[in-house]
Amino acid sequence: MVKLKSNDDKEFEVEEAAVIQSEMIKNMIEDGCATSVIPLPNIDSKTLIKVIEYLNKHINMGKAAETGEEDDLKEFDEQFVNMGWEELFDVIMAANYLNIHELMELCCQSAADRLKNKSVRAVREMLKITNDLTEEEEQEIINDAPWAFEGPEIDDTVN
Amino acid sequence: MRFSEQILANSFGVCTAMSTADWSKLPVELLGLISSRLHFAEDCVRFGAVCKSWRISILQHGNYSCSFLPWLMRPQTKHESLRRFYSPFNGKGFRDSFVCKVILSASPCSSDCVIFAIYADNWKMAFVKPGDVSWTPLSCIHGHVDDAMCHDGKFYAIDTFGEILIWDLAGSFLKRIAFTPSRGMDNLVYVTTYLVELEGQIYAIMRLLFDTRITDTPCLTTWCFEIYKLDICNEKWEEVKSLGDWSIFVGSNHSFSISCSTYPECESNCIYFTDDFSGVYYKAVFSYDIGVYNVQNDRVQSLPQEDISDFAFSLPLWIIPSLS
Repeated sequence: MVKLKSNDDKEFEVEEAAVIQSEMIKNMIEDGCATSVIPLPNIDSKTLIKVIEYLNKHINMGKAAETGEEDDLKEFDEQFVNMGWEELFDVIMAANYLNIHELMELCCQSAADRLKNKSVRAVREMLKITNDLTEEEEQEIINDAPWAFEGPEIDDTVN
Repeated sequence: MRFSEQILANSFGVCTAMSTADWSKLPVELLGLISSRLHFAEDCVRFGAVCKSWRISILQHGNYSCSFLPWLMRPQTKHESLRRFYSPFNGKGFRDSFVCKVILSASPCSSDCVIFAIYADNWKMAFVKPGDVSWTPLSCIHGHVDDAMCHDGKFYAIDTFGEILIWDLAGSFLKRIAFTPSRGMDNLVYVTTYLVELEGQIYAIMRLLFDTRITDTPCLTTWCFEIYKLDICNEKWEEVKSLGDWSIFVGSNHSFSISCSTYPECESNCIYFTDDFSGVYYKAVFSYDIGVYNVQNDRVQSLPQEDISDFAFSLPLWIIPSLS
């Protein structure tokens, strides 16, 4: 078992087989630097719980195909990324920090899927992004590809 | 510093407990991982329009030169100035403008050939060289570009604000020179200006057209031409009353001159013009505006022509046949 500590001082025990899906922790273990608790100063406990949930489920990823659990895993992934934008941001940052390739892929794909067909206005509102482009820059982008901003099919709703 | 040491070092820092999700501050490489999963060009364009950091991510990750899912370009319709596109993968339709004019700096067989294109309803220009993977846009264009030419290792364009813009062949903007025709402009006359090289000099050829409509449909007809020669050292224009032994060919093609002493079959001191709709209208009504303007006697003689094409952008052009 490996102990992980979140930045709000909560400790979690995780099976080594699960936690080595993180390239970063795998390297630490191989270097013999994971003898006691591994502090994760960039990750809060709420996000760490999410990440551990993912790691535990994907522990036997390689065997999933053999045991016919592929669909199960797919369903888990779908449920897993069903989270708010804030939480998704935290998980992406954590997956990047811990270097968990598959989790990165999953989260970035989810973000991309949610952005598809959305209007710029809707994206800014959903993700609480302040528009810091100048009027000229914005106009230039629109002039370069006016077709990307036209059409009744563009989704302007914020969910 | 290895990962493990980095973590230990970081662990002494101040901890942040709550989520500080700020999507505009997601590292550029992570934004790139997201945008690279957008397979529809329009999604990628809008991604880059959200905020500065998202824009930078799109530009840095080269999404713009990436390929997206294909579009079907629809056949041309009679009256549209834009071409229509359709994506069978999400059922969406688009319209976009297309290339209006292409200018070559040399024969396309030559490795120094630079190809320039005027596009987006004459509002933009870009160039490409053999071996380039994409077009490079030319900067500093603020108006409708009438014509462009290559001369002496530089690239020239003239816009409707009466300015000549000059770039080097790498696309760096060099300067602008005001085009100052002696004729005052009025609203009754439509003008298109062409740039042409004649005996190593740059000429601006102003084509004056007027509306000869009998019905509600506009019908532009060429009335006369005025010729100006550029003194490039002093940035001055001089009106010229004769082309001497030369004649000029203008229209949607790139403008060129011909020596009539070499080709005596061609009438000298003339401007051979074809209809390019002068950027105003997109459909010939009764006939094309094609003819020969004699500079000396200020007369226009029509050339025989075929029926009007149903296709707005299938324009008559001057070309020089080659057998190579």
